[in-house]
Amino acid sequence: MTGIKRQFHRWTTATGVVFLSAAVSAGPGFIDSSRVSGDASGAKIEVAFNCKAQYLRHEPEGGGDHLRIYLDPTSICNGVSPLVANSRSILRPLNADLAQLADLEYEGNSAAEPVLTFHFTRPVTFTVDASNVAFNIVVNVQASAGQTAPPQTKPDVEHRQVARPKPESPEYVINLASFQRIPTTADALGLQPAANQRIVYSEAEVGGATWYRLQLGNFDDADAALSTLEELKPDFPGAWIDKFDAGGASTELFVSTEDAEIDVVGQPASSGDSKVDALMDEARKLMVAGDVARAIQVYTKVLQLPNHSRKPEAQEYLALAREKKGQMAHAKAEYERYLALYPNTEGAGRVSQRLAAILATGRQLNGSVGTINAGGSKQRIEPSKWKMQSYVSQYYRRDSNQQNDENEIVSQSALYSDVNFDARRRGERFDFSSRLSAGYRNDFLDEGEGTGNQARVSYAYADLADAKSGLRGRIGRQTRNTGGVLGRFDGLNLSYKATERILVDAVFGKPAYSATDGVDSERSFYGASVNYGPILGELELGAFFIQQDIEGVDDRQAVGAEFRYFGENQSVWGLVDYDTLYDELGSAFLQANWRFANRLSLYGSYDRRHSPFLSTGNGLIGQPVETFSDLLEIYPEEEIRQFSIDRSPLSTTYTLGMSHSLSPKVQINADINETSVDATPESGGVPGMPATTFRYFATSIVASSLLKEGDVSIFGIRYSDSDTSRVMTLTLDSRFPFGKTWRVNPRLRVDRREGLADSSYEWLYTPGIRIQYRRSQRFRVELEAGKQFAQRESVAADSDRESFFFNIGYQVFF
Amino acid sequence: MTKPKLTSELCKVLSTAVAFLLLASCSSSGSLLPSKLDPLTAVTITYSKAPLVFYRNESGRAAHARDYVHLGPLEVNRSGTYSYYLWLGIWNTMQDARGDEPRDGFDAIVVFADGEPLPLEIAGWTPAAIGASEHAYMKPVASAADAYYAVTVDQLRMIAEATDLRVQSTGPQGKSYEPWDSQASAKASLTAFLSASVY
Repeated sequence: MTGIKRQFHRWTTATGVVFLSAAVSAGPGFIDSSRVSGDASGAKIEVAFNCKAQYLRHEPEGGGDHLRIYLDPTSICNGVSPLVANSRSILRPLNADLAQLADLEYEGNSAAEPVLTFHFTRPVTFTVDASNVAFNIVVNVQASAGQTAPPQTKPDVEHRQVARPKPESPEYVINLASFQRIPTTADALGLQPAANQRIVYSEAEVGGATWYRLQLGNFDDADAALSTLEELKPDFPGAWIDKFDAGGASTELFVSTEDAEIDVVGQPASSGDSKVDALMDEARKLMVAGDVARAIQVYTKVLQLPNHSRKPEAQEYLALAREKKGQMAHAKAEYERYLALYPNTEGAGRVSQRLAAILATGRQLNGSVGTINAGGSKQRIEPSKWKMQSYVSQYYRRDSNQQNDENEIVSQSALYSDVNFDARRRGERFDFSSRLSAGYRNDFLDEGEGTGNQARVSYAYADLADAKSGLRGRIGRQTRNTGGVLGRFDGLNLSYKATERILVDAVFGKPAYSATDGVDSERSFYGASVNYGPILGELELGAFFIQQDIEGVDDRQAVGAEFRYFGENQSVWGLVDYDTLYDELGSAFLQANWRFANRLSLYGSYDRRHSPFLSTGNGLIGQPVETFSDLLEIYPEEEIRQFSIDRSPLSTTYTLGMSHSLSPKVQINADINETSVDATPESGGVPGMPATTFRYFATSIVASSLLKEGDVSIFGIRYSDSDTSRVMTLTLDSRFPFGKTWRVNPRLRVDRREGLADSSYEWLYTPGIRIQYRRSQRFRVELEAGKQFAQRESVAADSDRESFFFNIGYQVFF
Repeated sequence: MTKPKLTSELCKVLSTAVAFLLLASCSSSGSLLPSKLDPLTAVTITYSKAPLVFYRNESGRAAHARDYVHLGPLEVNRSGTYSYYLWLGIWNTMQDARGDEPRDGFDAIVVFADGEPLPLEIAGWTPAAIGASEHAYMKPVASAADAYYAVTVDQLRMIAEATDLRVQSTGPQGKSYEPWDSQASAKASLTAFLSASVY
């Protein structure tokens, strides 16, 4: 085993050396080139560097078999990264023998300063010719090893620098940062190029990978570049100086803005609109200061101003600001808007480029960011990975009653547990989502006292949407409220978005009128609907047909229509459902409101419908059988249809209301309502019911910040009148926030009931309190408790009753 | 058996609706994105003309009983300082008959946008909560409760871009409200709001 270990170590060591050697020799190093010239009397060794270096010192003085020159490399480099200064390399120049040179060794990773070592084959005398900061260094070697070289003097830096020829054109650029995507102007926000400078990006192949270098330039001399580099270091810590490659290709991002207004789209600034100019200037300063969020608001404001010439510019900068803020979906949308609005401007090409960069780099598009953190840190990935969310809540509820000092009777003691689970995945073409929403009631009462344990499944479906075809399918337990579907059902809903305004739906399934129901074994339905709108941006229309069967018998067949209109100060909503099987109006609903200039709004609604909704299955109501098939064995179908109509009386409701803001903190509301239900005849052994009428008048005053900032109090009076009783109700409900985590909601309700049948009076006093504690955005605890005191006086007997209830529980999100 | 006269019923409903629509369209501005200057507080409020409508069947109480929540975005410009809110109009077809306070469970809500929970805390129940003297949105019925929740722009965008939305009230009687089918106007309004107003 030890031998194997040794072999392994040997193998890994050898492999490491090989890799190290490869690493040392791979790619450009600090030494760009070396050259030896001269003759037998003397030779000159010239070593060129890829980065400018500060000469520090050398040793030994005069001569020897080696020469060590200590350097301080700068980040002014010639087409390479300054990191090469940390590399290590050994080379032997051509004609090295002329200078008795064995090799040159550069050690950038030396423990001390980087050092350049000349190894000679025998002792020589030498002089070092170095500028203070230069791309090269020259060593003169004398042929006579026995002659001592004159003492070295400090290099004349000024002289050397003056001696260097001044570049004919701008020579240096600063590489601000490198990306494996095309840089955008957002990457250089806050940067203010001087006059005649540009921000560009160039392309380079490094190690087989394409890198894009964001560059600022050009600089006439390295010192100017170096000075700017120091200023930029805080924002661009990885910046370094490069020699301008005149033959290389670079793409400009935008031009200098120092002395003129930013003109990214090549349009002249609005000369006469000083407000626009001022806002644009403010936005630019905010961008420079890094207050991008505020800049976004200002650019938006500029865009909202009426016609001016700087809209394209503001639009582009709005997109840039979004990009800078990391809101890539927003930025994408803004770039697209720019291209839609200003396709022929000079900036369109540039914007297209930025948009392409966003799309190509696959950066996370967080357009729908937000969420539970105020800043919105969660991001949607397009295409996304699976995303799952769940929500759990548990509440314990207890209700008890006590009549005339008798023993307390507990009517409810149960734990309600609910869970909601969402899983979804967004793809390039298909979006998948699924949802399970279910609950369970643990009844702690003894059998016969409570209603028992119960499971509920409100939603359990999978949904697939195809963005390309406009098709969408949802299968499982779900709900619909239009298209003639009466709420929850188990089945399939297919949607097809034919155009932007036309949506066609087809639905197949079995009704599930309650979440506690299983799949209905008797009823099934199918239907189709079409929705059209918006028309003129305000009106929507829909029409439907639906057919429902029960045990092979027509249960419900209806056609209908819906319309909705939303105006600025009016809205109207109407629904009509006509049962073609019974030739009856199933329901008609109309709701409208109108707002007037004096902070007064009026409301009205009309609702006429069969209640319950007309269907053949209603024939079962009051019958001593449980299933429709059993009923069919007792009564013929035609007679059952008549029962259905008899058990589905028409109800009609009218409501009129008003609301008025008395002040910003006080609002008054009032409404009157009348509901009448037609009488039902006796049939099939089920007794008839008399017609009933119920009406109420209610008014409430809502006032905020009465006692402390953020509170609200609602004072309500309601009077109701029915065929059997009259009730007057007073309510007081106050809600007080305490800090950000607590809310306390005391309340009081007082009822006075007058029984018309037995001339009784009953007073009910119901004080209560709700307390909420929010530990975090994801966790909340709530307590609700209350007591009701009832005193009833009647000719037969007086009685007292007390009821107590409380709920306590929590909600948590995962 | 009572058989209503179809013609008269339908005519009554439709003629009322058409009359109202004609009347309403006469005074309509046609913009998806109304904006108003509050006469007392001088804030400028931009909102969506058509709010999103969410519902919940309450067939356990009555065959036609439903709870509704209307939801709309608001931008409040206070001398250049922008704030964003969600407005909720909370009501039910059995309003007051059961005596429940419609605000219960709405001190805090959770908007699920494509499954992502956005917990929101109430900012206030009157327009004072947003610095206005009157509501920008019309509540659907007089008995409806207005509620305002402070939101971020990103939260609004998330709501606007979601293909699957629902609103959940909190507390012991927490309820889930599903979006009304086909709300093209509301979605167009919300998109317009985000495109033109919210940043």
